Amino acid sequence: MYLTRIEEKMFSGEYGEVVEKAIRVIVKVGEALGAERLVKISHAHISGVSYFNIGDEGLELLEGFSNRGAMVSIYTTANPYSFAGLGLYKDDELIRKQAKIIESLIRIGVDPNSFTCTPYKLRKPFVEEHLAWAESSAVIYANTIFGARTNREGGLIALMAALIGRTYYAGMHKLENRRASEIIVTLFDVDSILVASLLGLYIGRIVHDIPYIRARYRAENETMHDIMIRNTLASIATTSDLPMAVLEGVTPQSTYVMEKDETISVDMKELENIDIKCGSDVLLLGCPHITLDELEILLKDKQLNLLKKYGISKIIVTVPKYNEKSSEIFKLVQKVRERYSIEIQILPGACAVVSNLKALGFTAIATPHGKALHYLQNLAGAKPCAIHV
Amino acid sequence: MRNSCIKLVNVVTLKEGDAVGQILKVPTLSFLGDVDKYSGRIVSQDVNNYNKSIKDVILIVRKFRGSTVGTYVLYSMCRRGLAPKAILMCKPDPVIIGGIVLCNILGVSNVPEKFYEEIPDGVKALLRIRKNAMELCFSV
Repeated sequence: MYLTRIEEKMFSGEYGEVVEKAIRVIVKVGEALGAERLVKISHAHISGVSYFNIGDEGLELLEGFSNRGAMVSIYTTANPYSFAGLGLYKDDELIRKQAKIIESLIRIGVDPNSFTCTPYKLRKPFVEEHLAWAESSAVIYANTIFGARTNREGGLIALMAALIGRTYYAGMHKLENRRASEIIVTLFDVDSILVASLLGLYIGRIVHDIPYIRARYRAENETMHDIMIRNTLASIATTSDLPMAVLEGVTPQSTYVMEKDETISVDMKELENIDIKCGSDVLLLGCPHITLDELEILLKDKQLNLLKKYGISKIIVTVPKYNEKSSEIFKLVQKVRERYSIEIQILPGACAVVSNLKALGFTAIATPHGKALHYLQNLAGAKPCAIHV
Repeated sequence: MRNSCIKLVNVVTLKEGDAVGQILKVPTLSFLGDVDKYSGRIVSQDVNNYNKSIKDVILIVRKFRGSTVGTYVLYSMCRRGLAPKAILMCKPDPVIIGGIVLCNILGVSNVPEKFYEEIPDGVKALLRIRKNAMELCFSV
């Protein structure tokens, strides 16, 4: 692989042991993926923040980096932490270890206000900007919606890229690899988060390469439209390895190459789980994260009446860390409690899917989010059920 | 019983070396969610070889999926002695390649799908990985 003079110095250890290790890993991964050089990046996003997922080995690795003075060289954000980061468990050791992960990341230079799976809400990428993002739902959103360029990086690889400010120039960084071939046409209106999610889960299972999606999204407003698209993309990224899709009329045209191939029509009846009866009185919203502004738009009286009818008595909402200081939301929480007897619990900077929900007494969770429907059982120990919101 | 070997050239070698182990074929896999990192067993029912352990096997995956935390999970499993001896993949996946590099285990990517279909699942095999080439020998 061709390295610039500065990169050569990094490689030979002139910038220290941590930088040397990081660039050696990036070069090795890049060589395996056919890269002939590195590319400078302007934003890295790290996944693997929950202690439940990365365990003692992950914690030791992060502490090792931070103790040796590792420091990111570009703007860097991180994924949400588990509910242990908010002290919701009785196990002090667990809470302490989750806190150590968060502290290590902040010491390395991660934006302390990030801790969200929607880093594009914090800093919007621009067309053709090179990024090194982990978090599959954010990667597919960045490439598809903004026309930015990022591979679906492993959590640790994104951290290494942050340390050297570069990643390997291969995959989604090159226009020639952003080829949409299979055309997906929906034969129904995508009119809810659940339908948007189930469509995404289905597309992820059937396609082999970047799909070109022609779908009619029918939303009451722009916010709902964006949430639906976010959920389709996050769901595709859950059941596939795809870092990108092309959404007709949405994806910037100069950021992909169209290759004519077969057209696949998708009927509503092909989507799974659409009629699941929900056996939970707890609703999860925010996978991927929704902001508090979005929550206010989502929980109008019409929706709340429907949730009441479904027997929902509690709503868990996971939101970005930077949302924790919002005061407006308390009015909404109070209104929902008084008028509908539904308790809302807002959890900033946290993620339900990467938390042990079983240990918190949750056996089943209702959610309209495809990513949560896929992961809740195996990761969080709670049975998921699909619900319209 | 007869011995059979499949030789492949023009694959991408992630780490050279030899290994002996049982072949475990999985069409689609995510290390986060589909594998229990404490037992090393496959825990997703929609994945082939449900409840089988990936410890010390020659893992052959057509396509990985989902979470980018897979790199960490694979790294943690390596540290605790639960990792496969080698990972062979048809479609190259940055998340898993990153894990293989950090674990320093044997690996090959760009394995042709035809090869994936041909090799038998569950048999003991000898794997030899060299620069841009590999050989897999087993008894059938």
